[in-house]
Amino acid sequence: MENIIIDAAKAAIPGKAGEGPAPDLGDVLDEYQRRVYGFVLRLTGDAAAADDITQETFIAVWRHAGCFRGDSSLKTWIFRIALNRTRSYWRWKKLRGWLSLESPADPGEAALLELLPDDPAGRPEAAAEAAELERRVQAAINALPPRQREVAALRTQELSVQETAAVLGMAEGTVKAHWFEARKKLESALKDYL
Amino acid sequence: MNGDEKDKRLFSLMAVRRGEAFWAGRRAAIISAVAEKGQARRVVLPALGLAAALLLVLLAPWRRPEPEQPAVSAAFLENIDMLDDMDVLEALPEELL
Repeated sequence: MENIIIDAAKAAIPGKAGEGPAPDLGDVLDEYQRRVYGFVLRLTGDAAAADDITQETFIAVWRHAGCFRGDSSLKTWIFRIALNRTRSYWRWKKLRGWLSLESPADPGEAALLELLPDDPAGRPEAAAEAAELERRVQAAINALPPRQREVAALRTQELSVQETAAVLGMAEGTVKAHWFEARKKLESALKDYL
Repeated sequence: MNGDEKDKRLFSLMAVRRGEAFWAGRRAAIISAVAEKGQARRVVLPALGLAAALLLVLLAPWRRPEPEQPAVSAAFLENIDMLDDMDVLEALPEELL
């Protein structure tokens, strides 16, 4: 089944013009699945939302591969789709908040159990430490203003300043300024671990 | 410690740590979702095309041709003009005619 889908999507996901043969869906997932998930999780602080948005992102990549013109790299294109989906999620969440359909909660708190590693060496202490680190990291990210949070979430997936600027549609200087501020706050919040 | 090293330590700290089983499960879920969407497209697109064709066929008899302008209308108007003229003519004294 997987092979059929990957073969079907193979021709549909192009690489950048002149970069040679197009990667297939399996390769794209191997390369970007963890990074997109990590990016969305750091932005939303919600593991279920990160699951859904990551899945939607790769479905969109597969469906709209024909629209990819190769003006940007495949990486920045995928992250831009993920960013747009995440922003839509925030708009939807805000709308639900206005309509009082759900109680406002710290988005980082809801996901704590889900954020535990699958098997933290089988030790409860390691699980507790991992959960505490995850809570601190997510709380530090949540405390950032939205633009700094987006820049930090992209930079922590090891996108360069240039790639981050391309994804966010910002000038590189603006990205550097946001990252400078965000890094200062993150280092201060996480100094115990650095 | 320079800026790049600081960045690397921060990136490492902020990385999402999950077991391999988690990633494999999510990967399988995405592949499966793509397969479902592909299947849906293969079914829905031809169905939509068929529905559009049927709609065209069904609506075709209702598209009546524009009614032709009746040929008598001009003559009818002429008659009216003549009748009007007749009224005028009848109203005129005979010696003026």
